[in-house]
Amino acid sequence: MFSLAFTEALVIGALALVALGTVSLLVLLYQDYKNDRIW
Amino acid sequence: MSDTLLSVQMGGVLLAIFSVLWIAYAIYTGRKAKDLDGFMLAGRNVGMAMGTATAMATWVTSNTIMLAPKFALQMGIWGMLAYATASFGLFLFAPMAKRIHTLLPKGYTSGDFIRLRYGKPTWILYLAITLVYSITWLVSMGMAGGIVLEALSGLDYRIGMSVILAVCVVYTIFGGLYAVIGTDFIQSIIILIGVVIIGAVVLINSDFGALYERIDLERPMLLTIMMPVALMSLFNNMFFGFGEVFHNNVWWSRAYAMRASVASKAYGLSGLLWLPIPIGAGFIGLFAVGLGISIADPDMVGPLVSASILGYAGAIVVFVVVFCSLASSIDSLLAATSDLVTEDIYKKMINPAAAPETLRRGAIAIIIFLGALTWLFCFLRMGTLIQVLFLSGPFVASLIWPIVCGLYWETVNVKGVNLAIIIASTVGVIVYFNIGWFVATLASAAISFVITIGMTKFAPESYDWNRLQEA
Repeated sequence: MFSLAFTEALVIGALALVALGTVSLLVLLYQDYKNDRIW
Repeated sequence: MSDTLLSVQMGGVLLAIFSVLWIAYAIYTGRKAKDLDGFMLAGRNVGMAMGTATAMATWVTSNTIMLAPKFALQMGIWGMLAYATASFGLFLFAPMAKRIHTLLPKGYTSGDFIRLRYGKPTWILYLAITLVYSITWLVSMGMAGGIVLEALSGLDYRIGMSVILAVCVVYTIFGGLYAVIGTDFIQSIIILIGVVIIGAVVLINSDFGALYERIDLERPMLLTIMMPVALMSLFNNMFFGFGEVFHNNVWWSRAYAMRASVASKAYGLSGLLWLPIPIGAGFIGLFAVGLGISIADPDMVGPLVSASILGYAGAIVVFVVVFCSLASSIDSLLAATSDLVTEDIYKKMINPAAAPETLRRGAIAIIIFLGALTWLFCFLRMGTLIQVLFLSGPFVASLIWPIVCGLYWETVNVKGVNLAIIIASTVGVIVYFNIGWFVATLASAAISFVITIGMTKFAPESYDWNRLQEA
């Protein structure tokens, strides 16, 4: 049986990763823009 | 009282706003597509941010948003994890993208590799499999778009489906891969933010411990570690993902389009971004049990739970996220499949002397044709085509080993590859009908592995990698 702690950590961890991914993409875009490397 | 989450008017307004937004943004981004390389491969100079976003957004389809909660509802925690394994295809394609750049610096399509590496018979087999797969994937998404938008807002199926397809066709022909990748970035951000908003609000408004106890009481199977069907589906899904990503021109064309120094890193990061999405979007399916929400149609569990907790605003977020998921995949498939038909069929088989401008016009005509063909199948609501998409698992899985081995080993036996594709596909289909979908892809991948590797070890051949430079 998956424990409550594991299930909770899995869900919260996944959402945190999605949020982190959003920020990462925006930071990467800014870096590419700054270095004129978007395209 | 309406039995949909949004009104038809709101559905129409959202559809209109985002349609105008995509077309306008695509025209702006697509103005860079001045030549054939620009139109087909976005100038072969796509950077890290755009490269990562386009790979991730293309792999997030309406299924990721709608099917992941259904998997969780039916197979519990393993269901979410099973869906998340589809990201492994992106992880493993990362080193392959770098290898593709090295071997075929001037390549256009995945067909270029198969033709030059294995010859005409394998190429024909490959084209047949990938074109059927791509068209059925397109049709499945067009139909899903119409069905989901109708279920969410009551917007007529034919209108929703037609608008989504028309918008994607229009902006793809305006700006080619520049437009596709440019819109994919915005769509990625919207999808990611939407998943976080829905997930966070559902979590904040729920008592996780109490919901867990209720699931444990009413459907303990959903929390169990030993669930054979879910475990089989986990591996089956993973290999289906490998087959889809490794073989399809959607992924190859992006590898060619990205800068050589970026391709591998962008695919790796896109896998990391994709991995948590089925869990972040899927867990609300599990919560349906804990919250005691009655689910008549498991396909709609995600939107129903979101709306029951977030209300009208939740339904709007789901609508927008689903629309972005559909558009980001449909545009990519239209562009990549058109490239494949233009390069591999029109140029290589019909008009080898075609000038770049002729090819560009041909690519536009093929995008329109593919859009019209998809629309026709969707309009007729050919439900059996969806079965064909599921059935394509064994076919695409049969291509995993021929592609991986062909990229890295010069000794691969070509007859072995052809036999592997034919026998593995056939056995996979038999398994699909006689045992079940959850093992068909696995069976095909295993047989393809044994034949490809076995024949190569038994009768190794020699291949000159320089022949790939002809692409």
